[in-house]
Amino acid sequence: MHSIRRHPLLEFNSNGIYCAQADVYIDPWRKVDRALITHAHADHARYGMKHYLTTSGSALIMRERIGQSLSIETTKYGQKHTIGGVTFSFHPAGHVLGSAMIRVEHKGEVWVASGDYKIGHDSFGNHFEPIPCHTFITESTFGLPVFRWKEESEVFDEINTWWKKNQSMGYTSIVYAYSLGKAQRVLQGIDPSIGPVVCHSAVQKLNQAIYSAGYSIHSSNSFTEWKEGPKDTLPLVIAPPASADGPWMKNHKPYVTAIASGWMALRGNRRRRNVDRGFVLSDHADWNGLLFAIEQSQANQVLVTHGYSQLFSQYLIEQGWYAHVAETAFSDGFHEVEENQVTE
Amino acid sequence: MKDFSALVRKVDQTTKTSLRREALVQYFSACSDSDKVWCIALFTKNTRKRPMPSQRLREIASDIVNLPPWLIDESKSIVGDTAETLALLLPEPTERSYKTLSEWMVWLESLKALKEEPERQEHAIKEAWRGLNAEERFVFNKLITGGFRLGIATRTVIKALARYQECEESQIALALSGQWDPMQLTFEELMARGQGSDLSIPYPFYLAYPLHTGPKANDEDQQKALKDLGAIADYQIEWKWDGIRGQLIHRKDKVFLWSRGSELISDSFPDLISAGESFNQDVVLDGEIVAYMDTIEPFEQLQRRLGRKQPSKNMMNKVPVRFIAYDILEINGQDLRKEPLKARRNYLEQFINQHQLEKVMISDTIKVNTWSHLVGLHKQSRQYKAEGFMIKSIESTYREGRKRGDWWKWKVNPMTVDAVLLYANRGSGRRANLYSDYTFAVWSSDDKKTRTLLPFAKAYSGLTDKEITEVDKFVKKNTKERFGPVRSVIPKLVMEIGFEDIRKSTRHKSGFAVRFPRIMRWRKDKPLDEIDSMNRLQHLLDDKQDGG
Ligand SMILES: [Zn+2]
Ligand SMILES: [Zn+2]
Repeated sequence: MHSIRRHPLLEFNSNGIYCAQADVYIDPWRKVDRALITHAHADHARYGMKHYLTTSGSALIMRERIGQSLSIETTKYGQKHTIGGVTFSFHPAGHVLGSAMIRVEHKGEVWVASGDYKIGHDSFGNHFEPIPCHTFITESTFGLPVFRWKEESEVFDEINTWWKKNQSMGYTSIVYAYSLGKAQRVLQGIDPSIGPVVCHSAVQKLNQAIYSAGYSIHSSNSFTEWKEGPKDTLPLVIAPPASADGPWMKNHKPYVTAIASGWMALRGNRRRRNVDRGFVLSDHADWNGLLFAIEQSQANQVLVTHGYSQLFSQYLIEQGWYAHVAETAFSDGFHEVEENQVTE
Repeated sequence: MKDFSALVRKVDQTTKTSLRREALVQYFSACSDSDKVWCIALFTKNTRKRPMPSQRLREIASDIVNLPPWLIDESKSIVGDTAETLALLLPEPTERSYKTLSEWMVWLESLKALKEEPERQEHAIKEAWRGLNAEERFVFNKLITGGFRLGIATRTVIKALARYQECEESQIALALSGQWDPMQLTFEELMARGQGSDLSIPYPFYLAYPLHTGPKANDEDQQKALKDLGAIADYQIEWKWDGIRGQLIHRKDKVFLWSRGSELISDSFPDLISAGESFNQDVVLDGEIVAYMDTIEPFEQLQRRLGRKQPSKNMMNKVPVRFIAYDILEINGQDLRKEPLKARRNYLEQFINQHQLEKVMISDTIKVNTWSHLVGLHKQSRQYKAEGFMIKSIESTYREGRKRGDWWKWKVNPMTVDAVLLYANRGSGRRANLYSDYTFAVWSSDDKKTRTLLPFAKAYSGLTDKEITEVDKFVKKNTKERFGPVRSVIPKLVMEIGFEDIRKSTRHKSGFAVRFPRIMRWRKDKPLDEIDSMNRLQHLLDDKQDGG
């Protein structure tokens, strides 16, 4: 048995995931003094914390997106930080560049806050490492059995074929992909010999920052570079979903459009977004991936957040897990929408 | 099935009509004639009887996928469609099935025949699933659960066939209209219908386009919209009656009655058929079937006759019907649709005058000299038992489908009520992930101390996609309770709800039933405190009965 504490090692309060023992928050949504950040997506890394602790990969992106002047202490995967007698370490979550699951240990009790994660290795080089723990806080963005991902290489084959076919019919191919994570994965995954890749400024800016920090990443053109360069083959344009229907698209007529997202597994989602194609490519674990991670954690308690938390935890309970929903500031429904529109 | 599911994928993977048409032409060029007939039927005909309820199909799948039934049901409510949900859940095929589309359709008939033997049905379905990949399973499941609509317009199919057959689109449209059974017809026979091989065949209906005078149009707005049409003398104006649109056909002593949905309804209206039998000329009339005592009766009366085959004498006496002819499309075998409306009107008047039948009347034209007179008269529509006007250019030919340009319908403003959102339900299909079906409530009375909220109408259409997303967000943040796919929400969101008609109803909690409710606009300006009460509904009902 563990020693008796007034608070659980991690708890959900109105500011975020709180560790009372160390007086720090993980992925807080309100302004706090000390924030540990799992990854740089906007729903996890927010503006306004006095001090941040995160991986160097996440720090790179956060400086680019939130501000250069942030007070960030950076860490490496596996490095230990002791705060108020609690040991924190960051471990690869396979979600996006720099993403981590945060391991929290105090007097032999281990909790893991997963943030967002994805199983396996991806084209960008992200990978997932399971961490044994007593309590596992899992996301459940795609926590329904209808979500089952294909091998990444199969999806890139589909994109390559589509791009070539569009070229032969005289169309530019526009792929909407979230600018942090998905965009770079697409850039790394497609076959660059088919033609030039052009990136929307929001994507290109990140690509350059990532490249300058020494990560290996295929080269891509900004709109201006492309405009001035030779145009013998029709490009693949990578743009964030929010830029859809923007004036920049005029320059690429005639074009066909696609979205790369896990949500594209459902026809209704694709039709609602009115794109031609949906490529099922996600930075989150699918149903089997979530179950695998939980299995691997060997946890005796599972807290479910971020997605279909109610349904998923109910299923876990029926399977014999001690699981429940961890209420975050937003109802799970809000995350459904937010993930759909923002991070996927 | 492989080719057909590839076609379904292709039309599904593009938003461009031209590419969809292209895919269809390609499919027609490669597939067998019997597959063509089924493909056309599936894309253009209304829902066929489903061989199996979707609930049952989910149960059968639950056994294979090793998931609790509640989770499959929840998944379905999020995906929005059983066929798609199961296609996603089922395991990869372990064998390969080579049945063609038409072979599967015959197989489905045999499945229906096993109705009394659920175990054999279950066995057959499991076996079928084992031989189909995810894409084919989706199509297969769709065939079983019925409702095979994949957002492809009949127009597109007609265009593709016309290209493939190298003939006029109108000929194809004719070939596909009316009733035909893909089980009975070869492709050749189907196409021959376009050249008059089938006496019963109706023409595709020409539908008027709504005249937009703005959601809260005043007299001036309305006059402006009308003036934009040009000179009133160039139009034929008629009342728009509240019945069902139909075609009454007399050819070679055979009589047929069709509804707008291409449904043969002769059996429901023997009284109109016998009127048609007394015609001494071959003719095709387009008109409105209405319930009629001394005057036109409300639609609810007609409803008692609809869908009832071989009505009793008693029923026919209680709810007599009439056919009010709007137009004449064919006389003595001659297609009149290319003639201008003014010429068709002459033929129609002649025909009706010659016959002098009680049951087949002509739709009177309204003679007013100015648009402003018409605005005045429009307000009295309900007194005349009409829903508003049809305004048709006298030069117009009789076209196919709903076209903009020469036929307009100008309906009376629907009755409106300000109400609050009480429950939200996930939508289906395209809106599967969104709370897009709503139940609205009004106050039970005007007494602020004792009043409660009473649900009175369900409405979904009328909001833009952007607004739906906004409401969806609201619902998810303001949920009070969840019951399966339904959430009750904190009553805050006020909308103006419009409807076509209101009547007393004992089946509804509120005591009123409204017809065609829809959202007119979002009243962000209006607090909950000020929404309407039951008194407003009562007032609308009284108002209607006064005819004012
Ligand atoms: Zn994320
Ligand atoms: Zn997230």
